[in-house]
Amino acid sequence: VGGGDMSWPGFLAGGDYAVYVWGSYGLTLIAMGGEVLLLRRRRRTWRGGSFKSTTEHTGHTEKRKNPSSR
Amino acid sequence: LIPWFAVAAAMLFTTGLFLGLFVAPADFQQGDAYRVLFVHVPAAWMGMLLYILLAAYAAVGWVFNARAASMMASSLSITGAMFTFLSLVTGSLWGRPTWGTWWVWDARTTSTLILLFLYIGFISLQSAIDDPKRADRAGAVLALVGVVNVPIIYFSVQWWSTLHQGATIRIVDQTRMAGSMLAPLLIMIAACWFYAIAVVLTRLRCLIREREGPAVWAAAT
Repeated sequence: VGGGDMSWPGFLAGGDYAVYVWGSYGLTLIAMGGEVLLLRRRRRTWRGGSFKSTTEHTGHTEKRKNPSSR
Repeated sequence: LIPWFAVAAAMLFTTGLFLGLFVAPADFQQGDAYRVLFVHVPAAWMGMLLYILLAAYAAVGWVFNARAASMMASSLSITGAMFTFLSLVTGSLWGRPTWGTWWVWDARTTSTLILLFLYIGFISLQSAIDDPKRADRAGAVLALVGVVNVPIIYFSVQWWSTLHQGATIRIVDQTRMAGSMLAPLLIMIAACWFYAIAVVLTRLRCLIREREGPAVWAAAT
């Protein structure tokens, strides 16, 4: 890697330490990418389901109120 | 504003990785193994700094009964734990070829492991208590007690003789590192900051939304 020789196979091999270097970069990518993906899914649940849950919620409280008011 | 932080993080990661992998020369003692440090050092810094932020927000939330600050602390805990975990794992991947061992129980590695446990403790304590108010208070106590660990990590390489080397980047002194290696490292650290800001703020929005219900959110936007 670096040092003048910039060929791709040599770069991917990364000398004797390829496993360690790429292992750490890969793990970092997985951890960060995983965090972003999970967050996106979490955000989508409330963005997509927001209206539904509000109506469900109010409907629920109304049902509760009605018997008591009668 | 959050997308801007995400874009800045992506751009800085790209330049940092390019400089770190293509431009920076191989170290004459460590060969290419030192390139692990371009992710290890930022991750370790973020792990410590995010914990300080977490403790500060938790304290503000506790003292002034500010829910938003407590939610910020909860949001920080996940990203902080992730970075601390990464710093330990990448440190291990660096230590194997350089020190010849995956793990040593020296002061810095051990105190960083304690930091990870503090994060995990904070997260599990908060998720174990149903009432958010009590969860925030309990978390704040743990976070504030645990904050003493951060200076221990930072000064551990000076206080004890450890296998982990001392700080190379000096704030007051001359930095003992070649510029071609320092530049990508600093860029990667900046990238991690922007990443953390984007992710933590997004999670904060989710938390506010989940806890406060849709009405508050509608009023805010």
